[in-house]
Amino acid sequence: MPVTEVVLATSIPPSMRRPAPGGEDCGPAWRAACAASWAAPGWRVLSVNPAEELGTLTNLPDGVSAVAAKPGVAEAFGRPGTWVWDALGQAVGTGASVVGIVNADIRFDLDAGRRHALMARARHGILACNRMDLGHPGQQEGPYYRYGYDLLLMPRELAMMLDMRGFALGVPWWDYWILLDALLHGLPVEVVQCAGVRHLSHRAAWQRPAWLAALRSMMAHVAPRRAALSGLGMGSIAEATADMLAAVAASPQEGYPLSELAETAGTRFGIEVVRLAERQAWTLE
Amino acid sequence: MEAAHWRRRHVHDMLFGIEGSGWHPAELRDATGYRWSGPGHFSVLRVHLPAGAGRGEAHLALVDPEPVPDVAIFLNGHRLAVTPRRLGSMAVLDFAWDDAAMAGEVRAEFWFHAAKLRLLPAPMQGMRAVGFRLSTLVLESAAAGPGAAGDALALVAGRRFLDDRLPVMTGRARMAFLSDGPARMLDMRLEAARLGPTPQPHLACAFRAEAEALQLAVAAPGGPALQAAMSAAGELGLPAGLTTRDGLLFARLLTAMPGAYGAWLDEAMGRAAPDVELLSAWRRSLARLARAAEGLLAASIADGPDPFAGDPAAPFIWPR
Repeated sequence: MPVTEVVLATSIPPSMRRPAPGGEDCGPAWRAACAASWAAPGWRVLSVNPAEELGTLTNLPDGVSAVAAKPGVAEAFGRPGTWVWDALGQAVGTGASVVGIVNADIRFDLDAGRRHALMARARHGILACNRMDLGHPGQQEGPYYRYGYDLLLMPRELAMMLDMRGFALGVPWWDYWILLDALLHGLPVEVVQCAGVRHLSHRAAWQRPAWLAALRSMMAHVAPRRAALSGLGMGSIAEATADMLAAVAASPQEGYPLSELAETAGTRFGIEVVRLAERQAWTLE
Repeated sequence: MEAAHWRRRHVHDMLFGIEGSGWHPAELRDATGYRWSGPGHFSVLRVHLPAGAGRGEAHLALVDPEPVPDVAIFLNGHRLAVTPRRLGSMAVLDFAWDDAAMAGEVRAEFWFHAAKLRLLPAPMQGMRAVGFRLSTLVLESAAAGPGAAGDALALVAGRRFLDDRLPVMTGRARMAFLSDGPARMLDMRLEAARLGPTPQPHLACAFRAEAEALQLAVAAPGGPALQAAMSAAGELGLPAGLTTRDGLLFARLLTAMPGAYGAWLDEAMGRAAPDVELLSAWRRSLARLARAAEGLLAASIADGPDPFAGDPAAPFIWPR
């Protein structure tokens, strides 16, 4: 029996809709194809779901198992979900040497060589993988989406150092914060593009209020570590943007036009985090 | 098990500030950032890049059913073979370069030449001429790059010392391109140049390139021209009659010529429809001249009379 070296956490939704070019919904098939693609010798996956969703997770492939999530996401973001700290903590709890998170709508096309390369590199730092966006499931090649990370891998010990309180899977910003938190700790982060991390394009699933709420959550983490942020050398614009976002996050009721300001400044700060992470950018062939 | 390979990427996102010219302000549309090229056909992007060969991708944002734009790409004056492909809502221009394109260059100067321009309305700005939307430039070195930065301190210290003891400035350059049979000729006028401590309000630099050889004459108003020549093999002979220090200042001026040329491009290409092949030929010629001058400087400082023995405040003396 192979030793489990990599455990990924995810949260498979009860249903998935993905309109195909012909009009039919290829969501259910894509959901199943994603789940079937994750496990491999040495790789296991935990789907961490709210208790009320566990009954929908039947017929999971070998190597994928469902566990109950801690409560509180629905109250914070208006829909059921899984806390990132809970998902990552479940993976850490398995004792695997490499842990991570994969978004539930990512399909792996990874052969053994690439899995080994990812695992070996993830023993030394966080690997944040961009997804390749496809227009339909049969498409061979598509553009990478640089402004998000749909697969993260890291050493178990490093995962235990991260503070992911306040972030939920499926809500923006957690993937930016996990990198920024690591960098603020002085931990190594690398951005990876690999054609085997594939995603079916769809409209953004999140709503503006949840986006702004998660942004406020991130700035609440950034504010007390402002001095460390300066040490990252992100530049004066990034730092000033962070200062303004932190001020707005602390007093969101101050009036017009703070939410609009936060949306624009948040977008800018987000791409600053991407630029920071891409100082170490790699392609895996 | 199939072997996997890691390649380092250098990503230049056009949403951020850039060094170069011929680009409109950054825009973000549907989570894709880009800058339109324009208002001229010619756009310049300068980035840091390790020496040696490599390959790259220019990612162009498209709005369906837009065709893939016809764009020529040059690196430090070397035309690169470009292979376009469509990738969803993007076009990707694949290209590669060899060692020669980065030889002796401290950074990479990419030129993009758009074959076609069109007029599009810009919000609250009226019409503007645009070529293509460059989203990101992704560069990968063929080699793993330098290892330990063992010579970095010496390089930094050396550059600072040269800037302090052999300072030169080209000032503002103006160019006129001529020809004489098979020879290419370039008249370069430098305004507000400086050689050492001595301002040079006007310098006239005349270049004549024939095959790989280059002749040049540099003159201040009212004085005789200093003549120099670079052989096809890249050997440079400095003008006679200069002191040791002034000879090295003259060589330092030559090393700064590609930078002056680039600054002129930034200024002059705004609405021009340039002959990019001619421009690239001169970019390569000036780069060869700069490398030859650097080599001569290195040899002179290492083996010649001490150029730093004299008074650094002494004026530059034009031979009469």
